[in-house]
Amino acid sequence: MSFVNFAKKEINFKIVYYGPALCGKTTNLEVLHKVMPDEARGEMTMLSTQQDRTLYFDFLPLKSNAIKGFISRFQLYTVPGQSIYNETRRLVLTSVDGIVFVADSQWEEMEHNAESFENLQDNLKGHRRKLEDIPYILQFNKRDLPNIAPVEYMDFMLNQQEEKAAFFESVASQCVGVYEALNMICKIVMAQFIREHNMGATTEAPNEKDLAVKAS
Amino acid sequence: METGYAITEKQSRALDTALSDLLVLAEAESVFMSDHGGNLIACCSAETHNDGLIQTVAALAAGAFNATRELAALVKEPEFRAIYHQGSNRSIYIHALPSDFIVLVVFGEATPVGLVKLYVERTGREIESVIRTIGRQDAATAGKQAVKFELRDGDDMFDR
Repeated sequence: MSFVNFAKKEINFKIVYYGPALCGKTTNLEVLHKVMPDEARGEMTMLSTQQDRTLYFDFLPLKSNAIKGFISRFQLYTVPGQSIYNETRRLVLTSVDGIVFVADSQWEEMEHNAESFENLQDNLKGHRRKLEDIPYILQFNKRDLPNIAPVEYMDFMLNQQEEKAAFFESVASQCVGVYEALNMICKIVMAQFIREHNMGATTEAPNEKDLAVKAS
Repeated sequence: METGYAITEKQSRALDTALSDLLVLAEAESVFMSDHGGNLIACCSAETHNDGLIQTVAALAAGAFNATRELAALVKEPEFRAIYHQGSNRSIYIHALPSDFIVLVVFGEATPVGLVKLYVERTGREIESVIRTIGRQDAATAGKQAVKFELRDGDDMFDR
């Protein structure tokens, strides 16, 4: 749920990285923390178990001057992938503005990807929201591994909504496709924000479908 | 779709005043206000904090309160309105307002928690009166400010 502070000229957006356990959500944030310049990012906070698995969420604040005259703040969150933490996943989705669904490209993880995608939609229902109303993209991660499903298969499996989402291939551990995915979700979120809030200025905002076509 | 909200300069000034009064009266070190989504709304501190730290405090406070809400539901309590983290040198008192906002106070060992509780309640009422004027409105209607949001040129949202 975007929040605009006219006194400070700031707009806040919340982006959540969602997906099955060990698909690379935390790695996405770690890599972004490494590659972003100091002035664009805050410290990364990880609420992890002793085994370095996400317990509550990871958090990385970023800022950008993408909207003229305002500082756009993007609060990036991950959710815990393990099934026992479903209540936590639901809580992290509170007031979300955009979602990056990170899928594991390995064949043996397809069932977990599908379960997690369904779980995302169920948890959004808990907030009385629908996935189709929220900007989201798909990130097919671990494309460097040998036993992976073709992109077309993953697209067919996860991209069955009426309006297809943009998707990205990535190797998060090597920072391949990570920035591109972030850039796209931020663009789509801002496009929706501008469309909803501008007064007679809809032509200024890029269309989500155009952005998705460009990405694919 | 959930609607976002916006605060005007006047509302922001009123919140800043309420928090800075709380800082002095409660003999606190820092005071933050965030919403349940983790957005920082306002803050006031006796010392300068870096921007990232303040954003993180807001996110963690919201996370803590969201988790506390669920705990309350599990023990059939409508809501726990406060969380108190007691430390050796510094403590934190987090207070939930009736609306979807949270006030977090950081205070030192010399400050009694009772003092913080007393003044947080009072500040909470002041904040609520400002919040009622915010409501769940969109950015365009916030204070009737004639603002047209516009993306800057270029494909990249972030400088690298």
